[in-house]
Amino acid sequence: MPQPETSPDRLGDRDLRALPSKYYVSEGVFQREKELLFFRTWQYACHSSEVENPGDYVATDILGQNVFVVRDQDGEIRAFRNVCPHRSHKLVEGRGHTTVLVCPYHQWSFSLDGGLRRLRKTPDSQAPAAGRVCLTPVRCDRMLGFVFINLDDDAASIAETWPGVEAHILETCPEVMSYKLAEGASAVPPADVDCNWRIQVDNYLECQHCRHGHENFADMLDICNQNYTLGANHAYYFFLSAGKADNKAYPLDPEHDVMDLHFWFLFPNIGFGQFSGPGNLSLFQWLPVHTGSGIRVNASLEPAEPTDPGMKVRQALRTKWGEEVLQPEDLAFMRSVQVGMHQHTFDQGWYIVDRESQEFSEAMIRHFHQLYQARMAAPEPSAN
Amino acid sequence: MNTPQSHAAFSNAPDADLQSSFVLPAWTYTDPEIYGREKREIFYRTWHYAGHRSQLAEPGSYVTAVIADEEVVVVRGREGVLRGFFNVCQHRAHPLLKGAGQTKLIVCPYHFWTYDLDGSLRGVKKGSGMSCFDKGSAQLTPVAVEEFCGLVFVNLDADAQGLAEQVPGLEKDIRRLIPRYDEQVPMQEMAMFDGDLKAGWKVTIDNILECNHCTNAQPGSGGSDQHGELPERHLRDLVAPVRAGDQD
Ligand code: FES
Ligand code: FES
Ligand SMILES: [Fe+2]
Ligand SMILES: [Fe+2]
Repeated sequence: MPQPETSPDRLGDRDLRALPSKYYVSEGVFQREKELLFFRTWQYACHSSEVENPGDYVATDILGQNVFVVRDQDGEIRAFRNVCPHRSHKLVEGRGHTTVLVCPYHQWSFSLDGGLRRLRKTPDSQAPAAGRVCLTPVRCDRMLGFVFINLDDDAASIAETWPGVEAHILETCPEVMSYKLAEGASAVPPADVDCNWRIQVDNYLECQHCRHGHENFADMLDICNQNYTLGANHAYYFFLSAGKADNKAYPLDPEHDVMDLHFWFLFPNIGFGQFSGPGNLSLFQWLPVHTGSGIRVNASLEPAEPTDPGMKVRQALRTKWGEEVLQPEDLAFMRSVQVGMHQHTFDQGWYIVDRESQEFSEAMIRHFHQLYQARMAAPEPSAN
Repeated sequence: MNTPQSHAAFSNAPDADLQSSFVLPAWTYTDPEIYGREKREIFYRTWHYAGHRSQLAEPGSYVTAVIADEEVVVVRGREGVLRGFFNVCQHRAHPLLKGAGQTKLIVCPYHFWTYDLDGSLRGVKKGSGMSCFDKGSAQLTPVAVEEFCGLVFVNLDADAQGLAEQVPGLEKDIRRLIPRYDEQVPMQEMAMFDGDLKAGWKVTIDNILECNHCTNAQPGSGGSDQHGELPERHLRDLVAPVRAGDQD
């Protein structure tokens, strides 16, 4: 895996100043983020098993731009804008299976490769020739069985965007390819998180707050043993497990479970993580709704067959802990930070950078903000 | 309701000639842009009540207060000096103290940055390979504090004219009109006029500045034994229908 070292030797005050607060509260910034980031980067759409057979489709959207993913007759996964070329009605809703895509408004029909099949007319009607009309394709690519889409037709492929990351995840979590999408995962709605999407990412990228902010989580880890590396367009960090079957977070079975924790951040808004416990890989996608609110999409993989009779119970306890302990703890911090970002006196925070210890370092946040600013480069947004 | 053609119209709304003057136009009670200007020009530059002297008696005692979108904390230092700060951590903007109480240091709950009671940054959690920065450049931002008649006020504008200076003679009047003033302490129960009035701040102030409506609208005044509750309900009944949008 390529690991360009950005070596923060002795950073001056200027290099330690965090992204200015206006980026967390401004409506203008949000509009630019849509155009410059979210409409031009790879965004998670669904898992390939959700479109397993020809004709299976899943409708989704990226900040209001409607797209659907479908498997065509030849078994290829494709994505299209979910909008009818006739008069822009939405073509498909939710998820389902069909042999032909029929628009509900005036029944124009399209084949699974996007070509127009039929439009209703009399022999005397003047209408466009079938070959002139088709659905607008959207770039589509895959990583670890997850399907991603990109609204930018000229975007580099996933392999070029995040070079080596897929291989590194497979090398670190070799079981992943045998996992399946967790039971019921398709039905789980995204979580509402009432803060700017970057506050969610910032919070994911540092564990300075873990020792006191997630006491039970910290008990499960060998908290001094964590470190990070920065990649060109991503970051990776890990925590070694304390190896405690009984700990304050949730029970582990060292014989059947994965123990160490691994996290990847793929710029701008995707995370992959393996937690301690029954085999797993979680995908996270942090998306804005407005400047001060967002959602967290989560899709998890699990072993295709239980590793042992107790696995389901341990899985359920881990999920319960996530929902009832870890996430509320983080949410309280993140909401408060959002309030703080609105305070007129708070212009800009500080990065704590430590090359030797992930526990104390915010080098990954800094890396994220630098990539972000490069992407958003252009005149500074005005405070709003 | 008429919407503003231009905000210039607003500047000459209340006429200097009392015989022919009109009240402020309705849109000035609902317009979000006006509210934005009110925050900048009025609320962030004037004195606001934060707490009573008795809550800030000991070194380390503090109270917090909210002024529109801003949060401040007032704390008595070890040497007895009363100081006020914006209640926001310089690290990554988490608010610092909550409510009121007593503390030796100001510790941020997110990553434990620690500030002295004078607002200077004392400690940052760090490991050995750390890049350091000048702690002096990350101290809390001060706000003006003034004790007036035993009440502690704050002003976000650090250069504001002192409160006592702005209201010459008021302190004397208060002490003359309210006998044994200094022996009074804050009510322990809920305050009389606390809570969400569901009315804009100007509607509320307009209402307390006249008693034209008193005899009609307050049938029980004076004679009632529900004394604590009545004025508040009265205020709410009167101002809610004149509802001025969600300015509060
Ligand atoms: S809009 Fe789709 S058929 Fe008319
Ligand atoms: S936000 Fe206060 S210590 Fe990090
Ligand atoms: Fe119709
Ligand atoms: Fe956390």
